Amino acid sequence: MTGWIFAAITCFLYILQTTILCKLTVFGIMPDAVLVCVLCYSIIFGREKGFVAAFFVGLIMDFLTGAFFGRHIIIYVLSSALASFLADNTFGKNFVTAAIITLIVSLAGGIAMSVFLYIAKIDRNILGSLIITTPIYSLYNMVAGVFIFIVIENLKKFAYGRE
Amino acid sequence: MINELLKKKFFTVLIIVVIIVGIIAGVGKLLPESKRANIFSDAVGIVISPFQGSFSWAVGNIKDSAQYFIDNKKTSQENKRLKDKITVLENKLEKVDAYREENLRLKEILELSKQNAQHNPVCAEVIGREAENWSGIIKLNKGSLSGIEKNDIVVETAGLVGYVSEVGTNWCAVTTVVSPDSGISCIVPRTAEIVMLQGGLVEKSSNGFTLSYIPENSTITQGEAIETSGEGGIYPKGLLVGRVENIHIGADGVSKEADGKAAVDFKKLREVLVLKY
Repeated sequence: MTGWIFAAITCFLYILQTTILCKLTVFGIMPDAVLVCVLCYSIIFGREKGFVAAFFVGLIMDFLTGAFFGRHIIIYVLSSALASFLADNTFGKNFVTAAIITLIVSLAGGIAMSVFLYIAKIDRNILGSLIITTPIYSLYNMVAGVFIFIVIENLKKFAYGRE
Repeated sequence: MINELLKKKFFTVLIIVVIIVGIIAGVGKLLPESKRANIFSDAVGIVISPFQGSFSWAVGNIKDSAQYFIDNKKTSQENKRLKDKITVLENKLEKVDAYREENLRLKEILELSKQNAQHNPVCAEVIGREAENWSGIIKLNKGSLSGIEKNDIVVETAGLVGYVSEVGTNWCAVTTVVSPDSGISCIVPRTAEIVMLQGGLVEKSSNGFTLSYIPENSTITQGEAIETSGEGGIYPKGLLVGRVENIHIGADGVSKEADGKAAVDFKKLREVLVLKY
């Protein structure tokens, strides 16, 4: 699947996330469709392509969200590395793998973010973040991961033909 | 010749029939006139009438059933036509309701704009929310081309929305008052006490915030309005932020804290006003 198609999917998911998914919340939590897309891409296409995709998607997200520059790059690259490692060495490449890896990475990311926000005194309710926000975020990402994995896999078959 | 004719059976039977009919007709003529049918007619009628009645009943029912199906089909067609018409009218009514609500919202925004004419108001629409769960940012469809600058204040008819944290050519990002990274110096107008308002991840989902550094001897009560104090350099004084919901002892066990709810419903936010202070 060419980079252009992946870029188009990522842009579409970003727009979807900021306009529609932000209204389909569970206890105020929405899935991180862009992160899930990066994870699924890393699982399907491997480590090297996953790194490149994660870097560029992170760069675009830093520009779009105006966050601390480099934050999304670091998060996405690390997540991509973890996802491709787990896919290659542990679970294989299927939608169940995508669901499990998305769950694990989202849990790790959620816990890290909750701790960071608490230490930086941005959000003082760390218990609420760890007990409510992070699990819901992870489960929601896991569900999104199944669908996005199937879409990307089918697009890969369409682009490269059945293997 | 007559003997030959008499020998033939057909003519024999024919003659007998004619004679019988003649006798019956003659008897009928001879009998005095009566209100009832004569005996021969009555006999035939008694036998035939039940069959006639049954056939008439059957034909009548068949006709009624056929008419029922014909009427039913017509009724069904008219019913469908009326249902379609009702659907069209309901859709129009929904659109009218939506236009009325939009009209009311825009009227309120216009009124607010007139009240804040000295602050160069710019009306903008919310086009998107935050892309991640750990921020409380909304995006508007106006930017520097419309004269919007960083740190401009964003309000709605209900109260304070936030401040412009990033400006593009035709868009801008607004950090809302319930954003986890927001920290606003607020005042309780009744008691003139200064408190700190902070958003949170969990609170954001219910338009909530936390008030901290409430003095120990504070008389703040539930339902009390919270306004910006003007300290901090971004928000001017006197903008309604929200109301107190419940008061409790803080984590340090000494000072009081309170949970509050923002005046603005961020889930239903559509049009906002960007002001320059």
